[in-house]
Amino acid sequence: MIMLNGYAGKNLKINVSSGECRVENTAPELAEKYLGGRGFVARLLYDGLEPGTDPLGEKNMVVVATGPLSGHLLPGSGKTHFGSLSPATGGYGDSNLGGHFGPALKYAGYDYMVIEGAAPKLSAIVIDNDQIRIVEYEELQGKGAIEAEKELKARLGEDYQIITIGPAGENKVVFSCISHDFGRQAGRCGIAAVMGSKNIKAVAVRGTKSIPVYNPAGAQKKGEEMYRVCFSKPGFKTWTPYGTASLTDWANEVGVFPTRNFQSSYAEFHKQINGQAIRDRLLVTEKGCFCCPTPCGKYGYAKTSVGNAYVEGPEYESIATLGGSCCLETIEEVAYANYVCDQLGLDTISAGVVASFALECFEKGVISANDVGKGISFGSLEDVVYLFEKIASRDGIGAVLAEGVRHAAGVFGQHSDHYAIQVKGLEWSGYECRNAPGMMLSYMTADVGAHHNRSWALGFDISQSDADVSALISAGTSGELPLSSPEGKVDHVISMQHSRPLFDALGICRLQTMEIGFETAHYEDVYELITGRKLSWPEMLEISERIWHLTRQFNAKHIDGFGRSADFPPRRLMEDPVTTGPNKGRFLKREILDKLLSEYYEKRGWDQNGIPTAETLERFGLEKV
Amino acid sequence: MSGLKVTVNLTGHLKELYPHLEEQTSIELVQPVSVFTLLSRLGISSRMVLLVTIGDTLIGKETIIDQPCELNLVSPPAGG
Repeated sequence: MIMLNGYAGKNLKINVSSGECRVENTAPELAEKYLGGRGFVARLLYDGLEPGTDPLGEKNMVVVATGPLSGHLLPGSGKTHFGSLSPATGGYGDSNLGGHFGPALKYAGYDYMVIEGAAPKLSAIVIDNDQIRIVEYEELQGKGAIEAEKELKARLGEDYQIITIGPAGENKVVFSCISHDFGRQAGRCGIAAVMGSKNIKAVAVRGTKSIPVYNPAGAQKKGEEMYRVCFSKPGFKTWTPYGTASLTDWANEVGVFPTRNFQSSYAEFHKQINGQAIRDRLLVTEKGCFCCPTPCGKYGYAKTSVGNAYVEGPEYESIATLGGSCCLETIEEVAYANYVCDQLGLDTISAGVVASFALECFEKGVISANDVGKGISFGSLEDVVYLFEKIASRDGIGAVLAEGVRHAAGVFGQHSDHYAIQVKGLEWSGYECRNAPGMMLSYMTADVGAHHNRSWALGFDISQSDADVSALISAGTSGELPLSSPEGKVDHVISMQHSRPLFDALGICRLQTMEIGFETAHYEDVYELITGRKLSWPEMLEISERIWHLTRQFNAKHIDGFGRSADFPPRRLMEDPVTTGPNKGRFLKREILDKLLSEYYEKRGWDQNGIPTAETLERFGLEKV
Repeated sequence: MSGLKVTVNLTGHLKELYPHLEEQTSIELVQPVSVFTLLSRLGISSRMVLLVTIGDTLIGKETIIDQPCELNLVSPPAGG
């Protein structure tokens, strides 16, 4: 076996139908070309899944992958990547998780794990270093995700790191999420539904092995230096107290806060659901992930008329979709709705957008009290919780909503697709973009659907002069479009689509770099000290670009007729002016987005249907895909 | 009158969005100005500055800078 420094060196393939577990060496060429994490997920799914695979069938795979920096003693090294053929989109699906699971998997000796098949009864995979068991746990059926984790910890031991799914995952809700550490989630793309389809309620891991390191003393010294640098950054002191929730006021001030199912981009009540409200009314303690110097988790206690709960969060995305889009006007209500999602195992982003879609459908008379089982309205925590419970159990209208807004709009008809806020079947996360063309393009072209974490070009949009953005907006209503500005919106989006997902391939948190200004040069140094392989940041970005072309090709392989038409937002965001707030009256016409897309495809080396050309694939060593 | 030396520290996205500026930039002011004006002189959109601090103290963008100081400019975070 070739020693892969930085890696555990082995991987685990579990067929839960037959109970067969195979341990194999991690291929050096896979590590060389794809680094780990997201790169491993993308390549393994591409190679392992045939066209026509049913996302909820036995042949779909759940890939759980760490990166070369996961589990090492340096800031933010607790990340794990999950992937599957997504039941939400029918295409490439992945999601990233903080906490402690990835390091534990690596300490047990595995860089990644592939789960295939379907267990005959509800079970958990229990990994204790070299011992791997599939244990039936039918008594966990219907248990909340957090409740199940607590119960498994009590049975197996506190030193196990555990991922679980809730009732929503068991019932194959396409936006169900994987839960871990009592409030961290791999939320997007419905990978928990794939686990549910395999009858896997949980995976528990305990690992006590070491990971080979090329230069242990150097890596330790560098890790210590990285902490000191983090602590010295001016943004350090302001980041931790509020975490991502500090974005709430800003998002309203610049008019990007999704409100009332994205009718508006401004919520008058935003001061009641901001980071300060969390500190004043909820906070019990800060909570961080493995090796994190900048803990963004806020663990708090919420008391509401519907119920009381301890909950981690809400972080910004949950505030935006539950608070803004569903119009829950107090931080306690947002936190309680967050808690309900966490227990049921629903992604708060999609769940908030699906609920707000249903609320608007009801308001417009598209669905009735008879359809829903009661009257529902924006701003009612009771109604939002009612919808979540219906969805998680697939009861009544919940069975339709459990398939996401794209599907529900198809069932409800009456032009409700106009305001079903999604791209490629994945619900939109927390940024309304009718005044932000770069961010809009980011959502349109993200490989998994409307997700912000591939490219957060919003800062670029907002930092441009008002005149520049205004020119673009007015062009949307009156004519020719000066889209290829020297500043290069498209270039910026492409650049971010390489840099942000690169952290997911390395197995490291991006927030230290993106939010407090930690220099990427540190990762070049520590990567070399850990692996013995010298790679510059631009060379790593090239690997990230390879992964981007591969996931696009994955979508072309698995989605019938995939192409340009899959890259547009819903008509509301191209036709309806924003109703209130600083961007009132603004929207981006389809023609603008069409031009942005053409420029994007050209710069990507894709044809005008959005498919990578043979030359592009060859350039990245993907000629055989 | 001698100038007011103000040191400005950029964090997070500001470093990426304004690559022409160093992470730590010093500017000499001939007279007191507001933080808004200072940002404008540096070519930084005030909309991209979430918080301004001097040491651990939060200050508003309308605050007049009338003595030498070190300002920290914090950019909005990009969600979780």
